[in-house]
Amino acid sequence: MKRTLAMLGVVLVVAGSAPTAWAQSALAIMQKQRELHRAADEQETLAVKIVDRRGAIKERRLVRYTATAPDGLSKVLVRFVAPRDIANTGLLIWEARNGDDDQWLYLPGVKKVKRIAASGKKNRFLGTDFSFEDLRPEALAAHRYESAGSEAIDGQDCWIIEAVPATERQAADSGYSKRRLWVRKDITQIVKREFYDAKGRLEKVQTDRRLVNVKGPLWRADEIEMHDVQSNGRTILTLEKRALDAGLKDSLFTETELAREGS
Amino acid sequence: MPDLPGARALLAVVAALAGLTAAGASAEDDAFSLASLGVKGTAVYKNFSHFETTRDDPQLIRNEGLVRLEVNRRLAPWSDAKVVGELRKDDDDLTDGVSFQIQEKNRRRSLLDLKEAVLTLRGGPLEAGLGKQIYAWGTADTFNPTDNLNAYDYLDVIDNEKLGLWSAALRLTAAATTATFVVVPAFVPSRLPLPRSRWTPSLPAGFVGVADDPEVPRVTAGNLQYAARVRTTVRGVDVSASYYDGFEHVPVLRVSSLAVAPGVVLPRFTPVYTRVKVPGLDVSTTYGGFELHAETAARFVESNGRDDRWQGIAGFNYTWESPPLPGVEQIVFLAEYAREVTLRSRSGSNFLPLDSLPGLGDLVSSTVFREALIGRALVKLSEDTQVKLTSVFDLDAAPNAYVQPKVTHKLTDALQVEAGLDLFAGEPQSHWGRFRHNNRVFVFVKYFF
Repeated sequence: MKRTLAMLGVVLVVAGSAPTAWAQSALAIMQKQRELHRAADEQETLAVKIVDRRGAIKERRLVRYTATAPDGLSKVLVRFVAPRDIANTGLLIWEARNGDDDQWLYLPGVKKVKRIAASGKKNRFLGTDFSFEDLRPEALAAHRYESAGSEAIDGQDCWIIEAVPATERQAADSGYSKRRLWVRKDITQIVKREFYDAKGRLEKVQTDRRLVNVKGPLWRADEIEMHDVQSNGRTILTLEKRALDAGLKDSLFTETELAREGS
Repeated sequence: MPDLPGARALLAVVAALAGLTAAGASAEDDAFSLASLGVKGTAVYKNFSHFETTRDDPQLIRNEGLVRLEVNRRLAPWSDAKVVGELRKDDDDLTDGVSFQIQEKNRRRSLLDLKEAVLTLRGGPLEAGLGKQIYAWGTADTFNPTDNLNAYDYLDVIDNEKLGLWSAALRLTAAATTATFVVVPAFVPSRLPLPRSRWTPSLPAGFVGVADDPEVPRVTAGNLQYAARVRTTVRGVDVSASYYDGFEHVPVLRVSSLAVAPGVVLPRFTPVYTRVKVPGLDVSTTYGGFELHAETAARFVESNGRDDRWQGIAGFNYTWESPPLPGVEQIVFLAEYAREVTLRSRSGSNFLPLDSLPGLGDLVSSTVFREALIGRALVKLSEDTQVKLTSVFDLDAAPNAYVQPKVTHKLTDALQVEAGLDLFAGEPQSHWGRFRHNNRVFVFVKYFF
């Protein structure tokens, strides 16, 4: 009887500690994927195709600059270059460790830089199916990660990781109650994301395609599709040009540069 | 009806516009576009249809056409150049000939105009901008007390725009802090409504006086203007401190007397420009779903003026995503409250602000924001269609207001149509009520190439 109770105790202890172990493992995977695929700086020119539910297509072009400081925090500058009516519209993000990023938007029509409210991050970015928060780096401290098993995608084995906002404040600021991330085991790269709305319904699916090994352990997707399954809209980002570790200066990620037109 | 020369000139602008846009379109097909040359263009047609004539202005309808070309060039890794030129014509005599002046004093617009021309030089954390430039300081949306560098074109009081300013700007950026220092050698006054415009009040019956031409400060070392701004971000709050030492762009009147005959003395009014020192401060931050901002400045008279004033404005922006309203994707709300207080009035002064002119009062006031409440709702129906409702309530006198509902629709990425109403309400002597004869419909067509 005592032996049975002892065994039961061991099982309970193991069962009780299992979620913690899984959680640490999921966070470790996310930390590893961020570490492995982080470049000191990066510049991408992307073609953007927006397909609405009726099949109407709009095309845009943008340039995205990213730099990661030694402390691991990133700064991102996104600037539309076409079409003409939104050219020079820009977004600047300074990542904060707790997820409360600073974000500013530049609208050339009024030649003014405007700070964006935290909950504005869940708003869609200039008619695309990406929200402002989709364009920021993965905020590890702002989420809790749990493993949700494994699954193969295109023949590649992936971990499935569920990310939920870490605090009520983060939950209020985010447009998502939960995200499910598929991380390829061989290269520790996210290849698919599912986004769930505040009511827990699947809202969007992001699929990364045409993965390329750009440098050392760094992999990038040359095509990213965001599918809004609720509205049936799609936005497809296709890489036109990429430069890594080109020595982008910190001064690029300032209000002055955000407001610079025609560059 | 448009006069014939005006109509012909307008047609010429539209023809030039059509030629340019056609060239742009075919050029794009050949992968040799204006854009590939670094040239961007905008063609705009504007129509304003008023419901009433005024005593001095019998024209009900005004048409305007303009073509704007912008060229950006990277001259070297450390240098850029930007030039924005404009061809413009209307059928209400707001444009007159062609002139290129460093110190723009013409009462009318030039048919051909250089809007901006900036050479930028960079070295380390320093950047210099030289040429004709447009600045936008401050965090408020409707009115910026700290934004004093550029003059405005007020030929149409509502459809106003900033005038470029020949100046030298030096910027120093270090981490989250940017310091800007600007020197302006030549003062440019704002372009006020023409004497017989529907925006200019009729003089009271029996009013007799002598009105001089404005005394625009000459280009001298003593009339140099300066401005500085330091902006930084601390723990999620953007803070700027600014200072402007220069002239107000709208004149005040120096009152004197003129003996025109023995025993006959007439009052004499000379428009002059007040030299002011303007320290200012603005902040912007976020709280939950709100963007909060406030901006304030004090305007201390140095010369040619009467009142030291304090101005402040505060408000918020809020974006409501997917509201439970059929067909509405998003609503962006703005609310602001503006206030102005006279800190010190030199009662013995012979300088009169326009709004204190006997018999005219608020009819010529340029200070709408003495106490005002501003509201705006931008309703996005789709990526292509949005409705904007803007309203400004003047609380300083008897209730009077300006309301503008406007619909914007994109026919294509390159072609956009705007239509709306400008509505003025209030007592005839109130700030907005004085324009009650100017209620109108407007239609803008914009083509981007």
